[in-house]
Amino acid sequence: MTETNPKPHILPNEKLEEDNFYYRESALMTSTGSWYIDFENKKSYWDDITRTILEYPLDFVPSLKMGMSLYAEEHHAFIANTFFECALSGIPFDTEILMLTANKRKFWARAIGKPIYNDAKKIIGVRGIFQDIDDNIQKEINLEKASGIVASQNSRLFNFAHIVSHNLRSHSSNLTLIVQLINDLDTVEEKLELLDNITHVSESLNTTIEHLNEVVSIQTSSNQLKEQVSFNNTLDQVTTSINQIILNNNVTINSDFSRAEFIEYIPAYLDSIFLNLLTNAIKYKHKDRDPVINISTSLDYTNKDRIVLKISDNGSGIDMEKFGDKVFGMYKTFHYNADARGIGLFITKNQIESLNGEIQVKSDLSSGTTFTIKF
Amino acid sequence: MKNKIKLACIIDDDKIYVNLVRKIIETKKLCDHLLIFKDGKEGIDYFETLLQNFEKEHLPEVILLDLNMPVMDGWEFLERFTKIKNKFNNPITLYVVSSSINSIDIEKAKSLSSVQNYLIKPVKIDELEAVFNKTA
Repeated sequence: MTETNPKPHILPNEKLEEDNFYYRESALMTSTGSWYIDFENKKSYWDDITRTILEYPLDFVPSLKMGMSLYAEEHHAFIANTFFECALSGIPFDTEILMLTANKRKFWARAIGKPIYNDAKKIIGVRGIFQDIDDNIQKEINLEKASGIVASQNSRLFNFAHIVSHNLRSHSSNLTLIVQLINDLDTVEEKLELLDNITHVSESLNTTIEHLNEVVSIQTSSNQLKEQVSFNNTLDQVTTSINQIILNNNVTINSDFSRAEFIEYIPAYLDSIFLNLLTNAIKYKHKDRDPVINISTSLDYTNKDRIVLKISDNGSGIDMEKFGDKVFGMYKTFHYNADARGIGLFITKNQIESLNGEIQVKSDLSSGTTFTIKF
Repeated sequence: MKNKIKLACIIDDDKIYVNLVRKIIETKKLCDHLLIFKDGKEGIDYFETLLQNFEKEHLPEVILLDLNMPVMDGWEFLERFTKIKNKFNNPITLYVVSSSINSIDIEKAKSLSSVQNYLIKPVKIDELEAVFNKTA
């Protein structure tokens, strides 16, 4: 180094200062702080950049006791294990971990550590660095989320394309049949009789296209503004709108929204979800008992940010063995009711999924059906 | 002149299709009578009842079965029909007639011993004539 140094006139002291300057700059620019834990003197040393990353004042003196408080709770077991393997068995580490600043802000850091030995080959400390890599990890997490959203949108689109092709095919094949018959029949009177069929085909084609439009509008309106919506108010509105059905069928609705009263959601979707699931429960009531519907909210136990809505009924249930994979399919009906359209649950599922939620169903032919929605 | 088919059966939920096929059958005089069921459940109920009170003239010689139907689809009908088919001691020729062009559906249907063939909607008039003439 000295041989190739272009500034040979620099004195040793200046050289040291210059090196020091470069090391400091690279540490600052890469947000990399150094630390040393001294087992012999039971002391902990941080440089200023470590203090800055961890949001401690520059005159802060760290102590060995701080230990775990530097790390997010969910990584305590992991860091304890990693650190002890280094301190006791001499295994160096280089890992990504969630740390906690003095202000209790969580951030992702790269933590590197290696054992320091004395002349007797005994481990007397651990030296290492913390590097703030929060920006990178957040970007990675966002990228993963985005790719998940794209994948689910893609699979919904694929499904939809399949539905479109299948649903349009039955009409087009009927039209083909009509044309064949018109060509085949001899008299004009007979040919004219077939006009009626064309009317029917065009009507059902229109209905199919209306249904498909309904589905498309879900996909496009899922960027509508979300609002703070009250579960209780939504239920009130929906029950008012179907009040006559509720009275005629002697329906009891019990609700408990105490564990989550509000949600950020597209109000029209929540209305539609409630309406579809409630009318579904009433339509498919058990023939021997009046419908009782229980609705409640709670928080998902693995992710407290997610609200869970449960709607269960004492109705006639769905044969899950037969229909399990088809419950949410388009034009699938599972009961012998004449007014089953087979579109409600399909729409409900699409609305929920377009906002990255999930819906599941459990059902029993003797006791009824429970829908669980994770928003 | 071969024997004309007396009784045929259509199991399909698409009313327009059923009307059109009925019209073709009537115009071409392909059979004397037609039974129509709007889903697999109605169909299988008929055959299971017929097995209890057997009358030969109520047993169709040809069945045209749709796959995609509410309540009970064509697959479930086939499963239950296959179990009782041989008890009738009379040949019943079954064609699957579906708008599904999914090769999995087609292969699966053709592999079943009780299925004579798979016709893709729209059926052609001469295809229908062939079905009825072959069976007759």
